[in-house]
Formats: sequence, structure tokens, C-alpha cells
Amino acid sequence: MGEPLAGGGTRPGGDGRTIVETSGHAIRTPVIAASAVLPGLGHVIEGRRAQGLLLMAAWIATLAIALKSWQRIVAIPGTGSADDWLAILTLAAMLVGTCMAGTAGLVRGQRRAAGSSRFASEWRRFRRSRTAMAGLGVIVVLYALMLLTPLIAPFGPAERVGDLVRVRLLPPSAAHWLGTDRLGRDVLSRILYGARISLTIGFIATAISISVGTTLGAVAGYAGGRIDALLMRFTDLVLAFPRLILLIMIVALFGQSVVVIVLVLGLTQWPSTTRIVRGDVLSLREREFIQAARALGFRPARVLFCHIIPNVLGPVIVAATLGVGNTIVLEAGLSFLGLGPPPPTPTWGAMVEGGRDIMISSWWVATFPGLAIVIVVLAFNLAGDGLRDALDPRLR
Amino acid sequence: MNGSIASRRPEPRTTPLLAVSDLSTVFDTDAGEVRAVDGVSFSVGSGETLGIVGESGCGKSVTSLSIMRLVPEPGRILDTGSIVFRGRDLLALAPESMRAVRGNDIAMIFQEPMTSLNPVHTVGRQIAESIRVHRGASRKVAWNQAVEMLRLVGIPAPERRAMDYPHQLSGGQRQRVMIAIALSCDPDLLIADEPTTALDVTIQAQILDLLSGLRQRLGMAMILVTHDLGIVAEVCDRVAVMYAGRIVEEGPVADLFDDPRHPYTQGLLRAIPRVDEAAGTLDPIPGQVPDPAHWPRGCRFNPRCRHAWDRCGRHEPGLLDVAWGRRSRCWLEQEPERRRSGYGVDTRDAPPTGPRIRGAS
Amino acid sequence: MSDAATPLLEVRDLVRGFPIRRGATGRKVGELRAVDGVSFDVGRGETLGLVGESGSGKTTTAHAVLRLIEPTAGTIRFDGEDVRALDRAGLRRLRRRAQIVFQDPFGSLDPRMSAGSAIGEVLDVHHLARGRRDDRIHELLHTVGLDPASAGRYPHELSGGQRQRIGIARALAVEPDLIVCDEPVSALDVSIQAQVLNLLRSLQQRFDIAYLFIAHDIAVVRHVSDRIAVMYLGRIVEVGTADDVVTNPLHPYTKALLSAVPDPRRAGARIARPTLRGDPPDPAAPPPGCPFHPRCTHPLRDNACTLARPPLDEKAPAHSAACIKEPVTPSNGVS
Repeated sequence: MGEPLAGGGTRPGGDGRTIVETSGHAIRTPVIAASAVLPGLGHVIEGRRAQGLLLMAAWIATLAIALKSWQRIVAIPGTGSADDWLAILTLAAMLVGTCMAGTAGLVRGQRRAAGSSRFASEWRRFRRSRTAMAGLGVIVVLYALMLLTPLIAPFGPAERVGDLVRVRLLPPSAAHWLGTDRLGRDVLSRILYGARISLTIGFIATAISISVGTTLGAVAGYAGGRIDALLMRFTDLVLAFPRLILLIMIVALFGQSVVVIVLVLGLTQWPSTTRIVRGDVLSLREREFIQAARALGFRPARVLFCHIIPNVLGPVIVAATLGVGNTIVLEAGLSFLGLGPPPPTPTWGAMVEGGRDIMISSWWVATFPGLAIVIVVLAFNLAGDGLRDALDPRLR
Repeated sequence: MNGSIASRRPEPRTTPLLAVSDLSTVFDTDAGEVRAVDGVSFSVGSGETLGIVGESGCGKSVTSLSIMRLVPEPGRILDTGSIVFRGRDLLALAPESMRAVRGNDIAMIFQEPMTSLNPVHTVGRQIAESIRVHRGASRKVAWNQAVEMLRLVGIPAPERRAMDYPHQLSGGQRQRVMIAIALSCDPDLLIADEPTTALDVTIQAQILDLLSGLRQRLGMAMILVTHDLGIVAEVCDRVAVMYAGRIVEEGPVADLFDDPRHPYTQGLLRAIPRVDEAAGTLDPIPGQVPDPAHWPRGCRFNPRCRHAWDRCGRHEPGLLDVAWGRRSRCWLEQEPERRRSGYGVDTRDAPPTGPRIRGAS
Repeated sequence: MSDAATPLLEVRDLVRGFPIRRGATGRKVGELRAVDGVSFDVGRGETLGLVGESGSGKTTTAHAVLRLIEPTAGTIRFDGEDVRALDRAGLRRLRRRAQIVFQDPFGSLDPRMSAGSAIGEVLDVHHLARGRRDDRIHELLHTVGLDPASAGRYPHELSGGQRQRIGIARALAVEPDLIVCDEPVSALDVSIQAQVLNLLRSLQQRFDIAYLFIAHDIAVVRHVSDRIAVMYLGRIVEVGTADDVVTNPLHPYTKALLSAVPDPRRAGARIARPTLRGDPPDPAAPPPGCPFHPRCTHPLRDNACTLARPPLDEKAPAHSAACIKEPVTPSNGVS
């Protein structure tokens, strides 16, 4: 039985059972009930202050959003699009999730024994880095905001909020937290809607690139010989293309749609992944457990997909998180140059471009989208660094 | 016995060259504080060779790294102990002073010569570097001395070999180079951490001969850390057996191997297959080495010991004297009647039982 | 079908060469023979120990016998069947009868699979123990002396000895007739070595498995083998029963190997022994004639040793050595 510390909680290295678990029903039930109403309360009582406060903040934020967008929520069942339903689902999930984390988390405690797999121990190491968790936190919040946009954005992305003459280039105020742009559109709303574009593009393009990259790299590394040589020469070829110019050409040829941009970004980013994976596979191939798999009569496909690839995913995931940040910046650059999705689609890059020449007089138009880009990319990079440290074999 | 080279009599009472007292080294891991070395004390006299022997996890390597103050993070040496070398406590030295000691007064060689040598510098340069750093010699002088060191360690054509890179040499030659680097500044004490484990047995014999010869010629003291009892028996004057972060038995080599007292030492000797013995079932020590994060209560060996009784599980014995210069961390020294019959006696000197009979297939 | 008298494994003149290539075109300028004409038999339920130092070719031989690497030349017959002629399907059938245990207990297990899954995978791939998979896994764990609860543990949670037992359990899962043991105890602590060696021995007695036991430690080999073959630079230089080879070595290399082994009973005494001079030769450019002659300390060593490669001749009953200077002793004992 873990000995309780002075501030509550359990002694690290003990069996991880919490006060709630070890006390009788007289204490348990009220605490759990209170946590169902205000998740995080139980955690704070236990002494897990940081987690408790976070849960409380999440709960309060969720409730605030629900209350504030009550009218919209009610309106959706009649006229709502898929987008809107997704937003409601997300909100519901947040409510339920926070509530459950607040109650079930008390009861289950922090059993260390749960999950002694490699993944579990890597997750524990990841959790230990504050910056990595902060990065992950920002990412989670971003994606939640992205999904909740229909409910929380005060205005539409292309909506002029009033008379053009009167509402253009308004500085940040209570009505418009981040001001309006030169066409009278609310900057905050546009940033929220723009997040969807940027994050989606970043995510899907990176997903494409790591799928292609991992497969090609694994096949090249495992097969060796001519196949390897062929694939690597092809990779070198793709790498040699100046990416930006290629992007510009393709967009000029095929039009400025989100799909085209995602495809082009994804299909030009894979070479670095291929190289990483191939290198790892080459060294993994000689490891005895791969030889053992062959000696046990396993087919090459099984060896490749069940044994080799799971073991090279570490660096791939790290590259992926960093790649998302990279892609977002690249997309912003494209939009800035006018090659992104056409107006009025609110991509962050286009918004920065739109405020470029009025930076002195109306700084908010370009600054806030720029800040958004910086924050997002920073979050991904921090999470990626934390991942890399967590997966570092040296620290095992 | 014939061919004995070094005297094996106990050293007269002079100040030892190195006196380690109550050394404890801990590692801060997420499982808590792990005591890899837990209150270890021993001494090495001038010109003497001490063997520290034990299996993996016993703390012997960490002990040798602690003497050099090279323990990697997250390890740290507790200030409850002391390491007195030629009258100075190494644990109290400032970093620059300790750096001056390393390589100069105390030198160390490691197990893997390939990774211990810098692959992008010639071996001559690596030997010379140590000389230049510690003696302030000029390049030319240092190079010439490096060549001489190569000759000393038995590398033929040293002038040419000095210009080779590590990957051009064989494993045995690389280990000789490591020894040359270690000896280049004429240290008083050489710490060899598993110097022959990565080498073939015939090359190992050459390196051991080399080390013994050099020790004799240069009057150097040596600490040999290894898991191989045979090496210790052949090369060392005294031996300390480590288990679970503590020394469990120590004494002069001949006495200890003729008459091992601690059940762990006895168990190790019984578990080793010997060439001159007929094939048969070996006598292993049951169980396995305990997790350093959770040492057993009482005597750390007691869960695996045939003789253990309730006292062993409650109180850990200190190093109790067995005879002059011999100590054993075992309650059997105080209660010898508790020794279970049939197990305490080393039955390995019995005549071989002949070849194993195979049944008809 | 073969009869009981045929050896389980017959190897004749096995060669494994690696081409040495130079230049941009990669033309072949020479060959490095890791295994240079090796022949031996392993009988059913018997243990043949293959001992040698690094570069001797023992590991390459072991892998070639199972076609984990392809032999360049020679014949390998397993239970009468020509191993080199097997197609993919035949090779998979072979894998059910001949298995291998590797040296590095940590490296030979997939770090992301639990012990139970690793064993279960073998059963699945070969369609064994259908319907009683979990039982069979527990049974195998028990056979190798592990607590069935370890099925859920991952390699990094197990000790070296335990990992090695999992490796053995995987090899046993297919119920093989032959297990090639590639330095199975070299990476283990002394006390664990003894446990694993005892386990291998008891498994052999229980299931009548033959072992091809590769090691560099002649004392270990001596303990588990019925017969021993000593390898040097890709060739067998001596072969005989374990007792004969160890108590009466005929080849100078075997003698040097035996005397180089440090012995705890020689404590306190440095018996002068013939230490081999020099380093092992470069396998890409072996010395002419007998490959051992530059380091040989045989009193009769002379020029004749550089002329031709000495054949592995029987010098005493069931005891052969590749040395032209060792006399043939008459049978029935008077030496």
C-alpha cells in the first residue's frame, strides 16, 4: 500500500493507489460526486494540483463555450451542416471526457504497472518534459478549437460585419477581439477558420509524405541491391527538385485548390523520411531478432511489416511532427505569394499578405495571423523535440 | 609453485597507494535512488594487483569509474566515503586537479578498444596527445615517446604502426594501443575494466602476459575489474568479490581460490565449466542477481544461498575476518555449524567421473 | 526415408566465399573464404561442438547449414534431403525441423513484442497448436523454466538469462530435431550460463534433440558436447570426441587454445605456457600451405608446412587433425 504523502497523493514508487481508492465509502462517494460536478476538484484534494487545475480550466472553458453558443447549438438540428454537427459532437466529447477524467482518474490512480510495453514507457518519458507536454497541449487545444469553430467564431469567415466604411480596419476592441481587416471582416473569426485550412493541409500533407516515405524507405532498406539503388536514385531526383518552384509550377498548371496544394506538398516532402527510414532499416536488418524471424520461417512481408516497420516508427513520428510545422509555414508562404487557395478562403498566409502594407497603421491585421503561425509551429516543434527525447534509445 | 613470478605473501603494513573507504555511488532513476555501489572499502598497495570480480550488476565497473570520478549522469558519488590516493582525497579535489590526476597518476583502460579509440586520429597521435597534455612535451618529443610506448607494448614495427588508424589494427593490437596510451605518462595505478572480455582467448592470454610483464617492469599497481575468475586467479595478488553493490569476500588470491568461504564465491567456482572436467550437469547458483532498486533485506545473497537461515534475512553481516588479510561477509563465519553438509565442500577436486554415457538413439 | 543410422546432418566440403571487389566497376579481385571446405556429421540426439575464435568461420558455418546465408559450394544433407536444393516451401519445412538460438539474448527478441506474443507468433506462422495456443505457450514457458506469468513481459523487463530462455522456447515451439546454438551463453553471466547449459542438456535428454553448439569457450563446449571440432581460418583442424580432443589435443592450435584458458585452480602460480605469437591472419590472404604455420609452435615445424594445405587425417581412432607433423598413433592404445 503506498504511503500517503503530507500533501495527499501517493509516494512515487509505491503501488500507485490514491487516497480515494484507499479510503472508505464515506470519503469516496462525496469526493467523486463533487468531481462529477467540478472535474479537477478531486485531483486538487489529492494533491495533484497541476492536473486538477488543468481539468477545472478545461471544464470551465467547455461550459463557457456551451453557454455562449447556446443559441447556435439550438439552431443546428434544423439547419446545421456536417461541420456544425462535428462541432457539437466535439463539444459533447469534451464535456464527457473532462467529466470522466475527473472521476475515473481518481479511482484508477496512476498505476505504473499498467502498460509495461515500450509504448507505455515512452509515453511516461514524454510526460516528463514540460515543454513537450505544453506543445502537445497547444496542439490538442488547436484541434479542439478547429472543430468547435462553427460554435465559437463570432462571425463567418467572409462576413462583413456591417457597413464597409464603418467597420473596416477597426482596432481590437470588446466587440472584435482582434479587430477587423480592410474588408470589414472579423480577424478572430478568420483566424479560427483559417486554422482549419492550415492544420488540415499540414496534417494531410505530412500523412501522405510519411506513408510514402516509410514504405519506400523500408522496402529500399530491406531489399537492398538493385531495388535499393533504384529507389534511392529516384529519391535523390525528387530531392533535387527545387520545391518552391515545383509548387509554383504545379499550382499554375492545375489551379489553386486545397487538394492540389496538399498533394504537391505531400508528394515533395517524403524524401527525407525515406532516408531516415532506410538508414534505420539497414541497421535493424542485421539485428538478431530479424535473423531469428527469418530462421523461424517468417515470410519477408511479415518480417517487414510486423517487425521492422514498428521499430523504425520512432524517428518517423518525430520527423512527422516537425514536418507538420514545416508544411504549415510552407503553405503560409504559398498563400503569401498568392498561390494558395483563392480568396475569400481565409488562410493565414493570405491574411498576413493582406495586412502587409498597412502594418504601421493597422498592425493587427497581419500580426495576429502571423502570431498564430508562430504559435502553431512552435507547438509542433516542441512536441516533436519532446518526442525525440522520449524515444531516444540512449535514455532507455 | 614453478614459474611463480610475483610474491604472493601479504604486504607489510605500509601506507597503501590507494585507500577506498566506504565508497557509495548512487543513480537517480525514476524508480528512485539506486545504490550501485554501497559502502565499498578496499586498498591497493604500491606495485600490487587487486582483482575486483563479480557478475553484471554487482557494481564493479561503477566502482572503478568512481575512483576516476567518471561516473556518468544520473550517477553521483556520495560524500560519505573517501578515496585517498597518495595522501589526497580524490573526492575532495577540484575538477582541474582531478583532471591532472587522470591519465597522469591513475590511468584507465576499457573493454571495447574500438570505441575507446578515436577513429579519425592515428594511434600515434592519440598516444602522443596524452603525453602532450600531461607533460607539456613538444610534438616531436611526444611522437617519439609514443613510438617507444608502442614498442613497449609489443607492437612490431612501431614507427610505421604509429601512423595507422584504429580500424587498420586488430582487436588485440588496439587493446595494446589503449595500454600504451594509459601507460604513456607513467601512472602509479592502472585501472583495467574488463580489458580482455572482447578479445579472443589466445589474444587474451597475450594481453594478460603483457600486463603482468609491464606491471613488473614499471612497478605499477593495478586494479583489474572482470567477471572472469580465471583471469583474476592468474594475474592478481589479491581479489575482492563483489555482489549487489558490496564486497562479499576478499583476500589473497591463492588462499581465496583454494578455500573460498563465502557461498557466492563457492557457487561461482562451482558454476564455471572447466576444461579438465568431464561433461556433466553444472551446479548453477539458483535465481538471479537482485534488482538494484530493491536489494533484499538482510544479507543480499540470502535468497539464493543454500545455507541461509532466519538471521540472514534479518541482518546484513559486515565483512567478518576469516584469517589474516581475509574477510567474508557471511554469518557462517560466526556460526560455522550452520553450514549445510555436502554443499560447503568444494567437490570439484574429485576425480572426473568419465565420459557421459549416451543411451542408444 | 532415411534409416536410423544416417546422420541427421551431413555437411561435405562446405564453402562460403565473399568476393572482394575493387574499382568503380566492382570487378572481383579475390575471394574471402569465411568457410573453406568444412565437413562434419551430426547424429540424432548428439551434440557436436564447434569451437574457434573470431574469424574461424564457425558462425558462418552454422548459418550456412540452415541456409540463413547461402553456401557457395558443398553439400548439406538434413535427414537425407539435400538442403541446398530446397525451394521456398521446402525451406519452410526445414525450418520446422532445424532451428537456431542466437547469442545476444536482447537482440534476438523484437523489443516491441511481449514474450508470449513472440512465442505465439511462431506457433501461428507454422499453424501449430491450433485451438490451444495459450496452453502451448504456457507449456513452452514452463519447459524452459520460466513462470507462465512472464508471457506478458517485454524483453527490457527480463534478465539476460530469461531472454535467452525465451529464445530457446521459440526454437522449441516447432519441435525441431536439430538446434544450432550460436554462442548461446557467451553473453550471459557465469551463474546464469550454468543454468542455461543445464537447461539445454535436459531438453536434449527429454526431446532427443541434436545440437550443433558453436562457442569460443572451449570449457563450455567441452561440457555440453559429445564430439568437438576445432576451427581455424575457415577450416576444421581437429575433430574427435570431447574427451579425446581436450585431454589429448593433437593439433598445435588446439593445444594453444587449451593452454590459453585461464584456470581458477592455477591461482597464485603463473605456469609458463606456450602463448601464441602474433595475430590471426587476414582471411582474405591466408598464408600458403597450412594456415596456422606462422604462429605454430610445433617442434617439427618446417618448410614442408608451407607447401600444401594439410588434410584432416585420422591420427587415432575417431580423432583427426590437420597437421602433417603429428604422427598417426596405432590403434589400441600404445602411444
